Amino acid sequence: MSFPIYVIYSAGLFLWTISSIHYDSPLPAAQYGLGQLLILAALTIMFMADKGKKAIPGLVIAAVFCSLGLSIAYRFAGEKASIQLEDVYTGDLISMIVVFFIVYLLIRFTNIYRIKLINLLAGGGLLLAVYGARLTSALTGGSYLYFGGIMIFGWALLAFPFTAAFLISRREDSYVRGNVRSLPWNLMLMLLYVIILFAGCVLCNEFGLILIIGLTATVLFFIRCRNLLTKCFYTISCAGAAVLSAMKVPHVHDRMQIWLHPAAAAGSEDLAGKAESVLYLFRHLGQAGLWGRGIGSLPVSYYPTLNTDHVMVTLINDYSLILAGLVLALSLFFIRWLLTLPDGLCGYDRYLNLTTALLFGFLILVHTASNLGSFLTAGIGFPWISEGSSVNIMLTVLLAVHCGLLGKKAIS
Amino acid sequence: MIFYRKKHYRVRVLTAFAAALLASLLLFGLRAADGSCQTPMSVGQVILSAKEYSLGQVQDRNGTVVLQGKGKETVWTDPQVRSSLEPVMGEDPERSMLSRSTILANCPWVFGTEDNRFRLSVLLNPFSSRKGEDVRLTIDAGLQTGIAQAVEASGFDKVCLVVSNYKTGEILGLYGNIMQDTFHPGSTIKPILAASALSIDPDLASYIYNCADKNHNFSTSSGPFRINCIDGTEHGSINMTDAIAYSCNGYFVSLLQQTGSTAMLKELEKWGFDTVVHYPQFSYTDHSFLGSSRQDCDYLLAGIGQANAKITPIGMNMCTNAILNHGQMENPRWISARGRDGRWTAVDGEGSRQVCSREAADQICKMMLAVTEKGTGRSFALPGFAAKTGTAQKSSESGSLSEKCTVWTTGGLTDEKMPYSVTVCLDDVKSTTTSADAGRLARDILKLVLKGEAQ
Amino acid sequence: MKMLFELLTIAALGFLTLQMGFSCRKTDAGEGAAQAAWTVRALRLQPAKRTLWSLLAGLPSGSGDSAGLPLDSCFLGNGLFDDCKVDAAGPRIRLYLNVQEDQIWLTVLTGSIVIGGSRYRRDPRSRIAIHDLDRIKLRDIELEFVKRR
Repeated sequence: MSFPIYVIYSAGLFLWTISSIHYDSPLPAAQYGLGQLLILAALTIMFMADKGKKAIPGLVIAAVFCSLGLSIAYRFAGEKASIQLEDVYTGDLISMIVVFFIVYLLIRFTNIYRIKLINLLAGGGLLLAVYGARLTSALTGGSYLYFGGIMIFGWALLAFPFTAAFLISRREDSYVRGNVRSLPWNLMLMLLYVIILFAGCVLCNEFGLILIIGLTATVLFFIRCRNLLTKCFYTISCAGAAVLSAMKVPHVHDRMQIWLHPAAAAGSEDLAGKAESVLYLFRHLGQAGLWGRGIGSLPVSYYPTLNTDHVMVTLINDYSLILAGLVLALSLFFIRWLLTLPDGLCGYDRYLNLTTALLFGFLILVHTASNLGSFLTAGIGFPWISEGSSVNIMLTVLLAVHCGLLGKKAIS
Repeated sequence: MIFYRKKHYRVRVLTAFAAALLASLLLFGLRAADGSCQTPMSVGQVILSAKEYSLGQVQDRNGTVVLQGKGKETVWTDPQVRSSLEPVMGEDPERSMLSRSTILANCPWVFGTEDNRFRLSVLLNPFSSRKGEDVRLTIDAGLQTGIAQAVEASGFDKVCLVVSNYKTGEILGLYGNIMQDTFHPGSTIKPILAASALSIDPDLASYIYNCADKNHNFSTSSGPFRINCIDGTEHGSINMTDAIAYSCNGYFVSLLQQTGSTAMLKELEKWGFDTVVHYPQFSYTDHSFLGSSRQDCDYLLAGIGQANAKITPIGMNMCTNAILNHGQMENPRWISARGRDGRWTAVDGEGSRQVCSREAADQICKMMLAVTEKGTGRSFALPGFAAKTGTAQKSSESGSLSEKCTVWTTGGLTDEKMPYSVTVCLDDVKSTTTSADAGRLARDILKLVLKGEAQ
Repeated sequence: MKMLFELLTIAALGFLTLQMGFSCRKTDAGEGAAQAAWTVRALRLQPAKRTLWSLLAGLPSGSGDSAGLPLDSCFLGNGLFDDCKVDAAGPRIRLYLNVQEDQIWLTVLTGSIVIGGSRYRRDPRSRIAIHDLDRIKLRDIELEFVKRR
């Protein structure tokens, strides 16, 4: 039933988008149409292949988000119309679909991803990417957000779940100071790994990544750690570090000021421009109303991150508050679906799935809260709706991991 | 005897996620409802908004529609009202929003900036069109028509005109770019100087000046500086009343020297000279007396409304209103209410400040009556009409004096039951045009106001 | 026309959301619970001594003579917040179980237990290897650990 409704939705969205914005060139519409057809084709294949139909709900929701991503990409195409597929969302979509099927098949039918060496390489590779980005940018004068052409955010989304699952699911053979009440060494290693990763993210100024990795690692730590005192100590340390960074790190302090007193920040010379991203929605909510102002009402030249970090603002302002609300409701079902898994899988698979679900959950939560002014602005996009090929492809990998795990049988 | 508690992370993680999402939505909702984050729109945002919305209705003080939007177009109901109001209406937001010197720039809600579409009617009818809210002005459309006709009949090209109620500060009619165009005030600055001088030293009311040839050389730090009265007239021994009535330049230059520049400049700041004053409903070009100059001769020339002395017609009208209103300058306003679908809310713009002592203002007001009774304003006398005329020479691009002038008449009715004032400025006129021409136009306008009042 | 398409899109998305909500349970894969690798059987050695507290904070429904232990670590004892709760009377007993495929590493955190005639008291640094069919005594209950095939 969800498949035909999705078809109606995607058709409606396509017609709505292209009737709202007209370009001289037929290229953007053709790219949009092609992308939509690709999504439908991929969904059809999975519909036929997935006998238990357990993967279908999540895939349909992901497809809904991808359709919205296509619409937003079309909406902003005029600003940078390009014939090169790799420059547009449709090109990313092709990569996403190919990667999805490869990863799905690998996870579903093999156990290659569990090989110790591969997981160690993933963990080490992530550290290399994070520190390498900073070093190579210093040498080449390029951006330190990228390494090897891929955003370090994307690298983290890809590698962290495997590394975390590997470390957490290790056998507890020894403990710090030999005391069972203390941290087991595998958990200690995970903490150390996260701290080293943090340091690298601080060097790269990737505040959003610190937030997401920190939140995910915290939840995993709390689930795995048995000692109440250790948990308290960890909480106090994290809170202390957060307060210290809010007071001493200039851009964190600015974000804090903007979050707590956005109207007052707008009056400050230093913060006025940054506060605008928070205040815009409050100012224009009345005009947007429930049905939105119409696709294309906000020019990206006015507000550069409307198709990336502030896509929720675009949804509420242009597409309608009702649609944005439905997207959030679907996100809730998506996270629920991500947390479902067949019983009896091994610890590594379970923690891999949990980490995947946590990453998605925190991405959606932090993006929504930032856009609504309920949290610090964090520079994080919404899965698949925001443009960003590296991140979207890596999120598709995580989706494929979950779909693959859904098809796995219990260990005998 | 034994029980293993399964760890349901799914429920806990999902509950925490849902709770956090709900909390962020709640915080957003509370902030939106509270209104504390609803800062004013930027100029660019107002312009964008205007493209999506059709203009709300612009009504005059009696509810007559003057201007309204029909789709993307704006429609004026009366061409004569249009000709008089168009320069200050600002219906094109791209031009008017950059400064607050037009009417609509000060009521952006007509462009739909404060539209709230969280109404049941919009929820049930998503197809409802976007229309800005309405605004009610203090301006009288009937008076505007009369003003436009009178100005057309006068034959003058560059006219600026303001009619207002000096008790409330409401602008009842206007013509020309009264907010931004500045002119030398000429002799119309003299009542302001006199009121300032009396505020500094009330005894100066009995100051006598001997307007003779030898007394027209005024000492400055760079030597004597000569300022004649108009056409070289010598008024002889003259008091303040006659000095205002006959517009004696020497008297007022001498008066400036009596009071001392520091004290005088400080008093003039209260009137808005050489300072920045903000009004809730508009911004205008501030008036200047000395400006950035520190030269004695400029100071003396400013005393007769030349050199760096410059003022807008609205500025002159405000100063005149202060004299007529016992020294209290009411905040001028031209917007009285905003509304939608016939429901109106008053717009705040009231406020006032005391610019000189009551006694000083009342004295000067009486002296201004003498202008129309026996002085330079005899030709346009009206019972109870206290006025002051002024003629200022314009300078050419090279800085030398040109043959063109700016002529003024500013004044109002002293009867507080009819608290109306008018300021007329005719710019770029030849020397054959006198301030009496401006005065006659001012009188005609006042008669229109009185006629409207009687009806 | 734009408005019509908008209404169509939002309506379809609304239906999809509702349909997702209703079909949640039907397409559930499961809780993702770990498979039990060991079974622990409980045998009562003495009649249970009931106190008001033990009656109030007793075992939840679903408790029985045996329970499955997945490959994980857990706390076993007679406390309220222990993962594997045992209805043992007397002073507080708390054991840390590190359940692995071939054996269980047991550490006594609170109280004492008896294994094969030897009493083991509280020692967080000591790990006792429990193999298949080993038994431990907690005051009035004996636990037998059986490895699942």
